[in-house]
Amino acid sequence: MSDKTNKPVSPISSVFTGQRMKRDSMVFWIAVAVLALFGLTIDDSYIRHIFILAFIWCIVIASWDLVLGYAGIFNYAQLVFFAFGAYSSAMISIYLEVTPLISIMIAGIIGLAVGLIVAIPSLRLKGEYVALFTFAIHLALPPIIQQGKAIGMGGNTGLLGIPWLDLFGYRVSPIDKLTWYWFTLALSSVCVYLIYFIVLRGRMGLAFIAMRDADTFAQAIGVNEYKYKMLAFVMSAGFTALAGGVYAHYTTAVTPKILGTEFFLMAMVMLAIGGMGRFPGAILGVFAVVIGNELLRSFDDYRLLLLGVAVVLVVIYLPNGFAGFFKTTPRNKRTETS
Amino acid sequence: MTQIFEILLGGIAQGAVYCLIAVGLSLVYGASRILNFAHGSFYSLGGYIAWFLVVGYFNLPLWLAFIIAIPILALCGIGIEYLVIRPLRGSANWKINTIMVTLGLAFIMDNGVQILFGPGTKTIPAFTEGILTLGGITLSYYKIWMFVISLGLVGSLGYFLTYTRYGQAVRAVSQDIQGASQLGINVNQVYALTFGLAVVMTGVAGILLAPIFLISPLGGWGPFLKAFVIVVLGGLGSTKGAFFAAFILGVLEAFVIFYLGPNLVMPAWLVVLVAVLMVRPKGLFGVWEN
Amino acid sequence: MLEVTDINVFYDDFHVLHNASIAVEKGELVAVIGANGHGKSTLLKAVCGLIPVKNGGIIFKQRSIVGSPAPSLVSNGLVYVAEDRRLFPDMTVLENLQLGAFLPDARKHERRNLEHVFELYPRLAERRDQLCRTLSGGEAQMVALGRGLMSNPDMMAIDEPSLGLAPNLTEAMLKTIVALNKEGMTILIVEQSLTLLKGMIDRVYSIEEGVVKTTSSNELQEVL
Repeated sequence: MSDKTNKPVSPISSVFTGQRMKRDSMVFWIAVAVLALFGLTIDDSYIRHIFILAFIWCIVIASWDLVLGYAGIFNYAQLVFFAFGAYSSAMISIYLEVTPLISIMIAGIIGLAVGLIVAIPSLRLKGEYVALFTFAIHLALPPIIQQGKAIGMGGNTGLLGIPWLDLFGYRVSPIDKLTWYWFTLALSSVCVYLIYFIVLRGRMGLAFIAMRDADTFAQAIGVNEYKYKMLAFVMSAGFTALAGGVYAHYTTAVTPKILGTEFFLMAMVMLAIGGMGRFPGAILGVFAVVIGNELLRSFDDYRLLLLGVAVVLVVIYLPNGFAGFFKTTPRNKRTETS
Repeated sequence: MTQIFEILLGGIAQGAVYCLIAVGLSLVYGASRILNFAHGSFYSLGGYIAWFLVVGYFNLPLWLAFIIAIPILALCGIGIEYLVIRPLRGSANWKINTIMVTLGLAFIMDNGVQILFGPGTKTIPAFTEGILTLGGITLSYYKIWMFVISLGLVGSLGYFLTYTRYGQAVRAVSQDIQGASQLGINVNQVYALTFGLAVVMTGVAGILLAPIFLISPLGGWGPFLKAFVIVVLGGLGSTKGAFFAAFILGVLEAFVIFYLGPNLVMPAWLVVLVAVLMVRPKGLFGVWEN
Repeated sequence: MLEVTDINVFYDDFHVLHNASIAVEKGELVAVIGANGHGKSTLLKAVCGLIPVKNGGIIFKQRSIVGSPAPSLVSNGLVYVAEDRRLFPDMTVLENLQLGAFLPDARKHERRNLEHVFELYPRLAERRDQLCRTLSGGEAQMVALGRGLMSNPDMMAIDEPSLGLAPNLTEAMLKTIVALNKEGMTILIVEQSLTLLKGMIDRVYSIEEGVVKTTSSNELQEVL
């Protein structure tokens, strides 16, 4: 009959709660500490700037990885949440004169709400329909932002003069790269830790692994797919909006460009090169792409073309991205048994 | 009253070109379950090839440009299917990977034409001018030709799929891949063929719409997004669905432009799409699982 | 006509068939039995080029066909009829049958083979314009077999034709298979209900955990 039943289920490649948790956490925080010290040793404010952007990207990509790589939802509206976060934090701090730290938080909450609004119709759909639907939202947003000029969204020129970050009385100018470096590093590492170590190694991570590796079985044992996917989607939107808020106050200007092809392409390349659903692949992808992108600056005209080529080649020749290097080979090959 | 007719006819003509773009997208998805995110870039590519031949370098007549562009487009499609898409087939994450790879291709093509021809918009003069007046309704000859050519191409595709043995094989592959291959149908050949056909159709649409919408490096994304909405509305993989959805949305677009302005076209489309998907999550004609 | 020697087949790194060998002579009706999941279907699919063979030899009509893709096997005269039928649900019965004769060689004999199929299964002639998704299990199996015949094969590998059929339908189905064999068709069949084929089978192989055993006539009596 069906010989498929004989096929061994590949050993679950992710690590559960408890197992190696302490060791991995230590490694993670040591890496963060090294990065924090590294910030001191670089004098070049441009290099610091690059790292600040990378830290902000880490939040976006980790959130995207949560939805796309772990929950398996083909969500391509990630930058929509980023844009919502950036615009809401900017507008709240400009028009309502709320201090940026609070407005960023509010942006995060708005992100959760937007995530919920996008998730409800998306999760009714299946597979590629989700990709089409969410990408359509992404592409439909810039015209809406232009229309939003009437309510103070700045239209094509965007919002300028966004207030500086105020850390309990200390106003952080965008030129104060070191403070920004530490601030974004701290925020980013907390978000990444929450996503990969708390959420994904908890019940939710287990549920996702179960759904990914044995969908029917997971449903049979009562994993509530809808609930977990919804949670992942909403959380991911919240984190991303938070990153958008930080970005707005760092650059002090947001324009519809954040929904342009360059940003989207960058995000895609990061995930493709890093590899989805396998920590720390996606995070390494962020650094590789941000640094690579800067190295390519001198070829400005060809930069986006080369990024495109990079995506295609990586997907074909390294389908698991950097994460492929971390793949543990299954120990018990059952070739001779049964 | 005549005005409403005029809008209606304009919408139908536009719908026919959208049909050309969307049917190809749907055909490829139906046969090989690949969502080609570079579809819009092929639309631009068609426009650029025609511009290159007609305006930019050679001053050829447009009909000759069509004849030259079609085999070039077909080769591009088949070549890309063979070199880029086929290696991914059967890999673990192939669904996400093909989306990624086609998006990557789109960026390569968009930036490639920008490097070659510059970021500015280009245009091709319409091959016919003048206006037809019939009972108070005016329609430009160009729109009529646009309608005829598009419908002709879509009609031939429909004929091919329904009445020829090879077309049946294409449908067979879209319904059961193993079933098709155990009958001796070369599945890879079908994939390549559908990809090539889709590229030709969207490229021709790009040429046809060039005099109206202009050609630019990122100009394919608009039509592509529209094709997306059409395909989803019609049901992924259903060429019949894409056909009807294209006309429905084309007419809707014409009325929205007239009464509410061009900026509200996409929001109006999305409202219709979401409304339909809430009732029929697989679109109007979608029957495929997953 | 068919000679399989020591083939090994893997799903990923799971070893399904171990040095499996079988032989089918021209005009024979050969059956393969065994419990579910022991590799019967795998054996048929491997022979018919639908899954890759790691090593070993397959010779069909004096030619090695290891590694040949399914299309070339079909044109050579070896056709596989799947246990799950694999019909095209949104096409009519007639279209499904016509696709059986997709390759040029088969197309030459299309008219004759179609008549033959309708003779064998008059029911399909009545339902020729019906979509396959609306057929009953028995009718679907008829289309699957008929579609195989349309390829104008020299040998058919039929995978569990009785799967999901009621006993009376199974009997009718197996009768037509026997009839086909009597007409000279070489058939390799995976089937559980061998009692119905009693006296018609030339040889039985049993598969246990991926190992093929030839069943002697004594054992065969026991099985039946």
